[in-house]
Amino acid sequence: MGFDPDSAKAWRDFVHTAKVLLASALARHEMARHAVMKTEAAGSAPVRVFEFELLAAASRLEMRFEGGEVLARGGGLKAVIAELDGELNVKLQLLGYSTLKQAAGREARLVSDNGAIDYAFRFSKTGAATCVLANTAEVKQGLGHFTVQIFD
Amino acid sequence: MSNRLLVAKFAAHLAYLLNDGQDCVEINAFALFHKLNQTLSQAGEDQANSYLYGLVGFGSLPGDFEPEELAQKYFDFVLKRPLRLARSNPFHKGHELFEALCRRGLAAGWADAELVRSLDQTADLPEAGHFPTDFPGVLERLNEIDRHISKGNPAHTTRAQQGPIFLKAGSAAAEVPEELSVWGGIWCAPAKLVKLSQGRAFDAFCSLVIKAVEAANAPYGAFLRAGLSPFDWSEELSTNTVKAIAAFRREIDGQHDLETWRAVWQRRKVPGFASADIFWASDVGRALRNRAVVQRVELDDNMPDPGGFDGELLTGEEFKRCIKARLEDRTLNDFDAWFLNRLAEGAAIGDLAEAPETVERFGGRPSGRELEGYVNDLYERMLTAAHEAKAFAEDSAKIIPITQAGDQTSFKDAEHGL
Repeated sequence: MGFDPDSAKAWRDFVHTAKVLLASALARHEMARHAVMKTEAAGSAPVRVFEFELLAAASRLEMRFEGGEVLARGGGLKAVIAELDGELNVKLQLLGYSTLKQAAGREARLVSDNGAIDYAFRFSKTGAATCVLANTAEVKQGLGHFTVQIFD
Repeated sequence: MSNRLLVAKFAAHLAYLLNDGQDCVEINAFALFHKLNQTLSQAGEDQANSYLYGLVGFGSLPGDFEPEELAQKYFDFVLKRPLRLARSNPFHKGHELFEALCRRGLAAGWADAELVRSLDQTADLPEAGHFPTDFPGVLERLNEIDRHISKGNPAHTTRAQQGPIFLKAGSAAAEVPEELSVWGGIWCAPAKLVKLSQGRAFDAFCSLVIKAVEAANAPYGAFLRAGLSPFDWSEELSTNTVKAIAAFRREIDGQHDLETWRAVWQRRKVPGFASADIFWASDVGRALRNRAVVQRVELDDNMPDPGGFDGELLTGEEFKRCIKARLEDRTLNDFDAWFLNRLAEGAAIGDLAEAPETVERFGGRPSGRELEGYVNDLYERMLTAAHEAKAFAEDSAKIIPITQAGDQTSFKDAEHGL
């Protein structure tokens, strides 16, 4: 039997095929746009950098994170790092009116000195963010000394 | 603007990530998780059409979640949700995705890999045999997946009659869990994959990923439609009850007084509750009334296509014939037909945005948001026309266009893998 474009099956297949093509085209377009934005962001300098140094944790051979608060050098941002279900959760909160005004709602990156972490995220309008990282030895070591960079 | 395509777009995004590489594709599960989490947690300028608001439900769910936290919860609830068999099908979409990924394995021997059910087969990894070099790694990951089969899963019967599921590749065989999630299928598959060429090969894979993600997302979407948190209520309410609540909630239309509830109850009862008064006073009734206060984004008119209907990918020729037929019956206009034909030929949306036909249609080069709005509305019109043409049989109707009054959630039991 030949293909009948008016049959119920052809209608269903037509709608499905259109869905695949349209969704795929939108996703491809969106990914291309984000790639351009990422390239542009990578080329720009951060407007503010917060530096974290976890000396106590870094001094241990096997670093452990038990959910204590850590303040950035000079203040303005606190971090709570916890190991959770095989992941490392870094919860960040901007502190103080001037810091919130400068950084809330903005793009940011968490970057470690050892190169193991380069995590892009955005602070919420209330100045909070959560970074979910792989729980590996390199990432743990990276959390011994890292920066949070805010972009305009 | 409709955002029917949001689930499918997210799934297509995943399909692209599973085909991202120069000569071949190397899947790093954590990097993939990170990319998906970032994608889901982006709000963008058009909130209702963003994954964060439209799909994850940020702003619609109770709880003081950060975008990335909620995106992770969505990931766990949807992509890590073990799928179940539907009806008499031997496999569900999670299995089919896993099989498709295995067939894409880069090592020799994966191309002919297949899933089979068998009462005679046993798991086997012969010391000397012909099988893909990374088969042991796949076996190891499969063995880490929970083998529990939920009560009520048709897999109990299917397994007794047809045997367990095995992945066969060359002379090796490994048992595959019945309740495999989308993420489980990706995680267990070979890490090095053949890159698919754009066109038919990628579209077929994308079609499968869309079906798998739609099946995985269906219960979460039902909870959002009902105005209830899936994290709070999934243990207590079945998907069918949630669908009934969504229909009830739609009809009360924000009128949270007992008289309205009683009036709507005459037409829309919720299973498990004897009367409107009992439903009103129940925990879920109270939650619905409280949701009216805390809900910041109304999702009902913007919910993604629930999906799940059993359409298949047409060949290029068949698709063109359908476009011609739909042009003749005026489902599509000339611009729609040109746009769909160009997409089927492999054109990118960015290129189409600059084409003279598009500039003329929009009175200038359309913005990304305008174009996405057009695409969603085009799909919406096609769904409506398909429904009017009775393409979806009444007893299996899973889609009701949002332009039509009534219950939008009449898709098949979303707990099944479809």
